Amino acid sequence: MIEGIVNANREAVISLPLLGPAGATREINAVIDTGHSGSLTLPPTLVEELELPFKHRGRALLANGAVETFDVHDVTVVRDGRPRDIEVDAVGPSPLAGMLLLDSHNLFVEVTDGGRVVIQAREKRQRSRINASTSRLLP
Amino acid sequence: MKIGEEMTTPTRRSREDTARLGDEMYERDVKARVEADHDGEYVAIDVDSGDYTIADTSHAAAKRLRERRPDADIWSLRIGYGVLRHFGGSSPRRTG
Repeated sequence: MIEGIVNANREAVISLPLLGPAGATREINAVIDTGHSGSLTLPPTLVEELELPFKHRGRALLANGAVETFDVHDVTVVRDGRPRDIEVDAVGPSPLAGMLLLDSHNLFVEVTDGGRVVIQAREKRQRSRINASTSRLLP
Repeated sequence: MKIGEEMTTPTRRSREDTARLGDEMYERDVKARVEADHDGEYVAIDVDSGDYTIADTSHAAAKRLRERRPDADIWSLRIGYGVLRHFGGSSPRRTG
């Protein structure tokens, strides 16, 4: 489970422990962005500071319609008590947590200043029940 | 670079050059072979050799290509979308 807090700007902020390749740990605060299709974005300066290994490159379509090419690195994040390798998109001015990071999790947000943010892994039984009810809705 | 050694900074090409070569290779050699059957999946292209891999995530596609070609300069994109990621708003489908 990951817990966070809603700030005065009504942004849902979570704290993520990141493990760099040299064993350095850094706790970062990331705003949850439900319009972000990746796992995590970090400012390029922070990616460089943590010496995260470079993997590949791609292009992003930003909210204002602009496109930007960026580098993708890997980082280890501790989630649900376990280390997991995820991609980091080195772009933008501040950390953003994307929907791929939250895949197969429930997200609860109390949208008020100081409200709670809770991200919890979905149980297998819950997943199959929702899948079954969804399939009944399909033609 | 030795096999298994990790790069922390990409220095061989500028991002713009990787993007230009990757776009050219995708349009010329890859697109017609993948768009019908792999829509919404991710492709990783080595812009040096033209070799490519497809997977459900960009992480998996790039990892598989890197295992096969440790020195690859990889350009990634989501098939049918024209970009790798979108930040904010809905998933834009490419029209062309």
